Amino acid sequence: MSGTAVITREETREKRALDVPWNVVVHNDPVNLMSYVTMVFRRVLGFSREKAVRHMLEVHHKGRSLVWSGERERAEAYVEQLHGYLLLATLERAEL
Amino acid sequence: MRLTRQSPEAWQLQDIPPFFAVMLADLPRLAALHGEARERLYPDPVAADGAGDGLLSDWREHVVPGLERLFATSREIVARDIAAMDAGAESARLAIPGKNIDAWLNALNQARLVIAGRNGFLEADLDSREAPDLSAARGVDLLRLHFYAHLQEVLVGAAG
Repeated sequence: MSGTAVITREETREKRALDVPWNVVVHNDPVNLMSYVTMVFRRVLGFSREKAVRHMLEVHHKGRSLVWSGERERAEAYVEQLHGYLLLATLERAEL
Repeated sequence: MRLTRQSPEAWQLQDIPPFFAVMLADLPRLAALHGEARERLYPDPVAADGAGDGLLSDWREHVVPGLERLFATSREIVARDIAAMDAGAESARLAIPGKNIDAWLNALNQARLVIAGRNGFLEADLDSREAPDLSAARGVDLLRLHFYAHLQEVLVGAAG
């Protein structure tokens, strides 16, 4: 096995780790208003009204809703924005 | 109490009863009492068993200060609007520029989270149809929370 092959494999493994999709999850809390949560989903995530309402209701009834999946940096940015609106949001590594 | 549009960029809250004008005036002070609600206002971005690669410490070092500034700015904007409230003996009027509505939504949410946090209000408390017991501080806080919720609902409508 050549050194080049080892390095290539490690780089590939690192890249794969970075590529793992990350989920943005919004959790229910009793304080935020349904209309407010819908407005925030539309603004931050660019959802249509129908999609925003659907996710808001999922948060309300199921306690959480996965609102976005993708690369980590962008997921972190979404969570930061959602915290700015005082929504309870977390970042989760997607299960593959 | 009603919110009317004075121009494309200006709203006015009219016919505010004196009792509620006092609650409005108290909003910026109350919204700043983050103490017991701090964990809710600045939640961790991952669950306890989350990323575990320094994200949490980076978040607390870099993101939380930005959120603190954002929340403080919202309270300052709201405080300036409230300072200009026209309070008469019968009712008050309050001008809310359209560009300040987001700050109002944010400050109202801060205050509502603070009130819920310091009283330990649960969904059942907030959904209860019983009139709050205004002889107790907890009951006054519940009324205050509902009043701020009503105002927030109206402003969400204005924000479109």
